Amino acid sequence: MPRIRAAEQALSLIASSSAKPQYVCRACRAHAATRQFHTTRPFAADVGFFKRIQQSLFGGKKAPEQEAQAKKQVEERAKADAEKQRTGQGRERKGRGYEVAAVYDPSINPEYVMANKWDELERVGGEKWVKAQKDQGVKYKGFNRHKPAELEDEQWLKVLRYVAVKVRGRQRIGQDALNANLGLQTLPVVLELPTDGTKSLEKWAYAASRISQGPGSTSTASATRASHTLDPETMEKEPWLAIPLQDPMVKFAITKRVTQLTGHRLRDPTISSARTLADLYTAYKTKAAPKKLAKTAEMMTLREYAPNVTVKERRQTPIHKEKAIGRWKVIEEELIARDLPVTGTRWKGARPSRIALTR
Amino acid sequence: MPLAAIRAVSKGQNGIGAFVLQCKRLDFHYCDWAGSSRGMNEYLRTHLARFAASNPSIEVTVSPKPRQHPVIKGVYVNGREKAICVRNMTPAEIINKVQLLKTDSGEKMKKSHRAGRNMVTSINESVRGVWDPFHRTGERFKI
Repeated sequence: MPRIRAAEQALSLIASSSAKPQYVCRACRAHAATRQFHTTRPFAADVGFFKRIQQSLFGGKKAPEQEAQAKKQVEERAKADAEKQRTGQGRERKGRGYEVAAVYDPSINPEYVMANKWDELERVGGEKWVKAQKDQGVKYKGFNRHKPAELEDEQWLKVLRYVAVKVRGRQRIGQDALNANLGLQTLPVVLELPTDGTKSLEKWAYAASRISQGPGSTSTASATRASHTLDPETMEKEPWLAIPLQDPMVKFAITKRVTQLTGHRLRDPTISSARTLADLYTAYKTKAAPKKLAKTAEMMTLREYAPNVTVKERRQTPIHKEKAIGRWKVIEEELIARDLPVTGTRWKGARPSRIALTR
Repeated sequence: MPLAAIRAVSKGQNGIGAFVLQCKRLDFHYCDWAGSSRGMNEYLRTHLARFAASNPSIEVTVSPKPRQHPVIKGVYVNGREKAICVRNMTPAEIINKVQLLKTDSGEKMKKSHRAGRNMVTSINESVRGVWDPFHRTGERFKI
């Protein structure tokens, strides 16, 4: 672009007509105003301009009533505030109650001392604080237990007996056991219940064995001995474990209720291959293999055979090594005294929670 | 009576009188998840008890090291450490590595021969003594 000299620029500005406002007559201006484009629809005001000004200056006909109502509202609010301060309990518009914080005024309370440190002061903000403030009124309760229960063999027997009795009861009255309500008792209650209904279960097992073996057979245990993996002693003691599970609905009903009570869920192949209640009992009482090497039986008992072995469950960091020889507390004190990060928080991958703790 | 230091009758050497194993600690690190630690986990489960029982003078520590290859680390009397990575090794191979670390002196590895000649190292003093240019006056450099 060619350069324009300052004199040339000044001359061109004088010569241009835009500097001078063009004359437009009043009629033309009024006509142009009516032809302006508006998206909003024009509507008349409820109260005229003059009346509005009059009301704002001198008040309307209902001014004394409004004033009295406003005064009443202010008084009510003051009363409510005083009540809140007295009882220490407030209530929101939606009806939720909250505690009113006490007001500490140095002029009223001479014992009140202003804090000049962060220690023991309430911290407002942060992820933890927000979680604590959240409405904890309705808590989610799942179908299963939060954590699978750890049960002994005897307890497993109790649970299975209880569930089998319930399922048998529903079957007898012709209900669908899978979708029926099998009780609302929790596991601790079930474990404390007396062992009722064993006789009915034994009858069930006996009847089932008669059907499967034919009319000649008499012994329940001998009839089902080949179909389960339990030892004969347990089967002699608990003959009801020979209850057959040919009906998938019965099997699912039992496993469903047991899962709800104990939190233990069997694998599908285990459920499908279970032929009797004894098979389910065996599957439930069998402990799952530990996922961590340090939790295996071999590693847990290693120290008994060799006292020079130490097995740690978690990764050992340099801090653990320093702690083992009692030097870490010295290092920590010195780092804090020098206002240095204690656990490597200046590293860019450090966890934010650690940074917050050390600062 | 002037004081006199007690003269050393014998010099303490490893192997004379009592043998002191130079390896004082073995650290076994493994991962619970990674496949390269499969052999190591098997070794720890089946062979470590026997090794630890037969070597009570060695301190054995077992600790996980998640997302890392398995490592055996030997700590020696001289303060040095030696680490061997045993990734994808079978328990039989790991037994050999443990034996290697156990019998090691902890010294740094160095060549035993140099330029075609055998390099002799000894902890005994030289019979001729240390060379000194002023040892014999008048005969320079005649040793």
